[in-house]
Amino acid sequence: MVPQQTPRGAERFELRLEATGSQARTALTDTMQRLAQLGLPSHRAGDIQLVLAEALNNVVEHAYENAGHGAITLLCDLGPETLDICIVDTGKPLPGGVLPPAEFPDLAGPLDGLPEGGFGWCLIHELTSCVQYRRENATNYLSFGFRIS
Amino acid sequence: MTLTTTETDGARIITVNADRIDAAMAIQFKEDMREKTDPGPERVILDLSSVTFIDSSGLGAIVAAMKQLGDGRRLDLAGLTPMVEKVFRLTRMDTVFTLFSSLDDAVPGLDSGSSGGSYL
Repeated sequence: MVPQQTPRGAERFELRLEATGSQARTALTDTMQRLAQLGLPSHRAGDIQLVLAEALNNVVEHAYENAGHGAITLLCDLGPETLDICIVDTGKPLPGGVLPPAEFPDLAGPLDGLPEGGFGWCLIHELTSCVQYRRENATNYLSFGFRIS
Repeated sequence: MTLTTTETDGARIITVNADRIDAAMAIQFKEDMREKTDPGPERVILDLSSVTFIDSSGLGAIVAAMKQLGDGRRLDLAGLTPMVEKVFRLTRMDTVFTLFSSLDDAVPGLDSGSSGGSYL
């Protein structure tokens, strides 16, 4: 991963990473550290880290189908009241070209049938104030916003 | 990641010695859990007190670890930190697992330092 350093005090920054699980984890911890340095209140860090993790995992596992490579750019814009994040990749589009629904999987029924996945998008919808997706020029743009005050 | 096993009366405690259970380690976690629980007693308690972050892949790995215990056995969770507890609550998985705020709550008498139980 090549961290793109921005001048001290800047509230916008970007990170570039390759689509692997370990780079996603490093990008996540680097981003959270950078946001903390820029003054993100610590009580908001947990939700933001979780949403970022779910979104990055989705790109690694589905857009790039766990191929072990593929460029991802993460853009963060921290304002006084809000944090906006955009994740850009050139992998496969989301199914149907739209955001997946925010329905949590059904947990009824025998333990054997309990879902082991399908929670990621629900958590993203639940923990953000807005989520948007667009596909342009074979590129995915997933952006979400958080209120941080 | 490392898992540490402690035997108590009627339960095996498995402590996660890592601060996160995420997508990068979910498969390894599931395999390590199988190694630590098969075979084993009916009740297994997963001590999550060191874990400050879990994502949906980590959650899925814990669900898988419970399912692979098989019939008649159970996986209880202890020592959930606030963000981990929040993920279980938002996904309603707190209705599937029994959650204890600490290991002491999960295994009364544990702090006596004796694995053979304490007599007062």
